Amino acid sequence: MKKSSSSGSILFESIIALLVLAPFVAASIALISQLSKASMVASSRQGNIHRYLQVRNRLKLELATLDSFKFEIDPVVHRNGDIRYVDGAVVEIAPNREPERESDAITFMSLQSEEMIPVESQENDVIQGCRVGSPINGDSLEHFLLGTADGFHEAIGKNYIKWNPGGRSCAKIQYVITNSILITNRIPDGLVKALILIPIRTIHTLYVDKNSTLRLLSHKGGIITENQPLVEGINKLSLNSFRLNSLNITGLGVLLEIGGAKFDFVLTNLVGREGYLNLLMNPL
Amino acid sequence: MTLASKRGFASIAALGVLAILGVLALRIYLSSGRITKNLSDEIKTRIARESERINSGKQLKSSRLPGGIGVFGNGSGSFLVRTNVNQPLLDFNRLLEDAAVCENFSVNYPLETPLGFQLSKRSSVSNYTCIVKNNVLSGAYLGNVTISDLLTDSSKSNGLVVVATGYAEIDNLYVQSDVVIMTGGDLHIGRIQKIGEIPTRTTLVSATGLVLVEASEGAISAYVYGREGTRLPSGMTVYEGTGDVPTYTAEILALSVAP
Repeated sequence: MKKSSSSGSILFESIIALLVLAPFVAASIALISQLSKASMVASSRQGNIHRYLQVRNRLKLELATLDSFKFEIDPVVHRNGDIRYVDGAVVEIAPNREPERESDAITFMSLQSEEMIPVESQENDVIQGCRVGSPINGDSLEHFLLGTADGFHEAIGKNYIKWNPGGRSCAKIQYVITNSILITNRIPDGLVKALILIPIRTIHTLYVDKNSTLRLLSHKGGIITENQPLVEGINKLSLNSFRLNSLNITGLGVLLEIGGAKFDFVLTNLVGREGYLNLLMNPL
Repeated sequence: MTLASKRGFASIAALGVLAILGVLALRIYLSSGRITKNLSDEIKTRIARESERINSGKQLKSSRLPGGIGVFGNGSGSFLVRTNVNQPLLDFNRLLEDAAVCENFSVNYPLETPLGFQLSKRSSVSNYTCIVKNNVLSGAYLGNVTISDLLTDSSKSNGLVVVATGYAEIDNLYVQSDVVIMTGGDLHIGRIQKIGEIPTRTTLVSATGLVLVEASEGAISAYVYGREGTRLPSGMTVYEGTGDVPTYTAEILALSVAP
């Protein structure tokens, strides 16, 4: 009888102890849950900011490459992911990498101005040019801009010969004018006279695909040479390219949506643009 | 087990549960703080890196290319600038703002003008040519231009200006006031004739090609600017320089930054 009474007392005390502990346990569980949520939010926010910085840095780098030349060749914004060549033809992209129509795309060009070659003579589609200084690099003769009295033309070099007469570096190149995503070709049939050859470092387009991935699409004339993923989790990219007339520099307004967060910023290049004639017509 | 030891065990167990929960809560709180701190540090580091990258572009060292062009760079990029300060920069952009667009002409090699004049190798030649049959007072052409007779207008105080991006070919130029003819390519004039007694200045400039005047009549004073091989008749009084041609003062021609 005594034993059963002591067992009941222990049970009673345990229940009291549990009742006393219950608020603490509940409070602890609530705290853990809240902190866990906060941790997840912070982690997600970190991811968003990390993606934002990646996109911002990429665009900043692209605008800096505009300073590889001074000509008025601005980046082209393709509204609603409608990426086309200047002749209106659609740039063909694999179905699983198609652009997201809610986002804009943008094409940039970077030139190797330090590798430019003044053209000394031309006959039909063969040009010959020489320069003094660094030797002509064969790679720079594969994809280039030809500057003429009528503007710029994107071209691909087919065959070239190099030689070095009297301390100069010369090259003879056969070229083909190509379709372009950036350069408006006024003369599709062939140029009468090129004045200067400027090797193209890259022409590429940044776009967001249907899987919310920012991608880099490289172009060589009318051919796509690569399509690489850059940053995942980009919900929307809106772009607005403009010219700051007072400084004649190019600006880019960007609105970015990542995981429900919105980021907007403006970037510019540094070097003012100049009409091509003043640059081409003043002999080097 | 005695009653007291059972009570003690229950109390220790309860305290143990509380301690574990407390430690767990504290760890999560601290790790949450660390995440926030890491995030803040990462942003600061990235901003600092960006600033460093941008600022490093200002430290330039120079090298030199012949032909009046210097290359200035810091390894990650280079500027191309005109180093020959005595060489004027011809301002084509300003004069060609409202230029006429010429028609597409097929051209054969070696390149010749419609009047049969063979163009020099380095001359700028447009795919487009304007053929002007009547006298013109002034004009800007996006292309080559062929003019049969050109008469300057004495009523214009600032003189006649003809500018073309390609070559210009003028059969007869009649000068009775100041005149500026500025071409991207060769400038070929069959004959210059002075009309009237008022002294005039004639400025003939070819940016990339030659200035060639076959014959002159009367007292012609001219500023002439062209490549080596430029040829003028002995009757002309010639000054060096670009005369009345508009120039500009920009120094940086191009800038290259490796990505």
